[in-house]
Amino acid sequence: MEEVAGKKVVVGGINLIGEDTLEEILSRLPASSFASATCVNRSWSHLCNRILTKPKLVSALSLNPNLNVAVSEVVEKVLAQPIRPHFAIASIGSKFSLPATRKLIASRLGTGIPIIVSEAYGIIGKDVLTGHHKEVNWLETDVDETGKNCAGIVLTVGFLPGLKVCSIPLMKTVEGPSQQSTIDKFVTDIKDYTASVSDCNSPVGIILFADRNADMGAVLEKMDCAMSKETIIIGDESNCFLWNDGEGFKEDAIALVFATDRDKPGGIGEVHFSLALSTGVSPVGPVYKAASVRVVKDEEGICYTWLTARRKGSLEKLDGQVILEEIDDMYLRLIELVKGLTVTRNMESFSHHLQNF
Amino acid sequence: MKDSFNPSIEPPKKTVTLVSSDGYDFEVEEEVALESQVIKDGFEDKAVDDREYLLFNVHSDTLELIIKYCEKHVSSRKSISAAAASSSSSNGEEALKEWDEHFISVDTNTLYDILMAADYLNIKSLLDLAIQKVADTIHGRSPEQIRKKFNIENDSIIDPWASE
Repeated sequence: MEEVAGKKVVVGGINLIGEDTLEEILSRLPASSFASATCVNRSWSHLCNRILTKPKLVSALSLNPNLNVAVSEVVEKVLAQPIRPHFAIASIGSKFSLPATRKLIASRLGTGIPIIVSEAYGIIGKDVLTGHHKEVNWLETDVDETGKNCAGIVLTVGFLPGLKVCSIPLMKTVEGPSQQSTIDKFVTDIKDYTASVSDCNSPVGIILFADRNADMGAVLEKMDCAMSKETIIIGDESNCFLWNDGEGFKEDAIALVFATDRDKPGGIGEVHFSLALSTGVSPVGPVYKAASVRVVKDEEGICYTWLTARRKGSLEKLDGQVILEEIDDMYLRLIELVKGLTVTRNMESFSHHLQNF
Repeated sequence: MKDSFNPSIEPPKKTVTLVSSDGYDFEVEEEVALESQVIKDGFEDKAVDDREYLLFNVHSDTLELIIKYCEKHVSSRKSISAAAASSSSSNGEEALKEWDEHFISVDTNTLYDILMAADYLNIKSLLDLAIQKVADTIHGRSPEQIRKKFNIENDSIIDPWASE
């Protein structure tokens, strides 16, 4: 290519730079510029796709009391690197409004991806200002005369090549026969969606966001029967939550469904989920410590979070050696909140992560 | 600096000769040349009286800039560590950062030349600086603006991310 630029005749220009160097340049771009770079030409597009071949989860935390500022801060932080968000999950303190938060996030990330905002008792993450780990537990702290100062947000965006993501609601019902049909519909919706994008009808993973007051027992039981054993179900039980199409508070739960994309481009590995997590923390991502985990006891008095209940039979497999080998820092301190009494115990590996095999 | 001899003040420092692709000799202090990992790696293997490096991929214009960068970094490192040793306050790192910023503010073609030379000579800090500069130049531009800025031909089919 020869073009006259100013006085100099440019031959090659940036095309002379080696692929590795150009890849390094592109991988330093923030998400928006990365999107532009992807469209420049074929070889740039090829390089950009090479940069984004692995699943990526990025999250950021802000404790700024102003919602606009807090959302701006976390959005900018998570988009400071190459990523194409496939979904977004935000956990906020009760001082922030769910609809306002969702709207602000959607205005930045677009409405084309599932965005789920839930209210949390506490949040954990990397502070946008300091870059250091930060955790807040609003059940225990930050209570002053004026009430609770529960302002804060953790935003996690995920990029999962080779997977399709969709949010599916479980509508609220009263107990009775209609409840069973609602649950059936929920499970069918999940399977139908999965079958529409995959070659099988069981997704690889589901993240459930459930209303604290909803009885998820029957739902989990049904899902356990209906889904393949390979399907990992994890979740977050929250005060309340809001999702894309929800008018608000009409749902008992939202399932964020991850299904293998049958049209995925070649060269992208399988994404597997391993493991489970808790309330009160950012439900996905490089999770550090669980600040508050709701623990349920079953008939035998064995503790488990309802989130992992579905995998009770194979709990050892999930939180066992396999995961420990894969994740460096898997020691999580679970704080058991029982009748206001805080018991700290050391437990291994109540977290989850995404692994590209 | 072309064809110049760098008169050193006492004691005479060891020097090496760098030869640019267009045949110019640059005599530089050993420690300056050793900023390049490539030269450093080959250094021990060379006989003391044969410390001449033919840099086939680096034009004299670029080599002059590269040497300027290495000299600055060697001397700054010395003054920074001297200031640290005497525990006197120093804004050496800040000043060097500013100097770097100024140094790399060059036209696009010079930037490519520096980038490729730093890559070839394996001068990590300079490569890093140049890469970041190109990334900063791309930042905030539309695909069309990027093509224009970097003289890139568009051979793309319609891209699914174009709407972003």
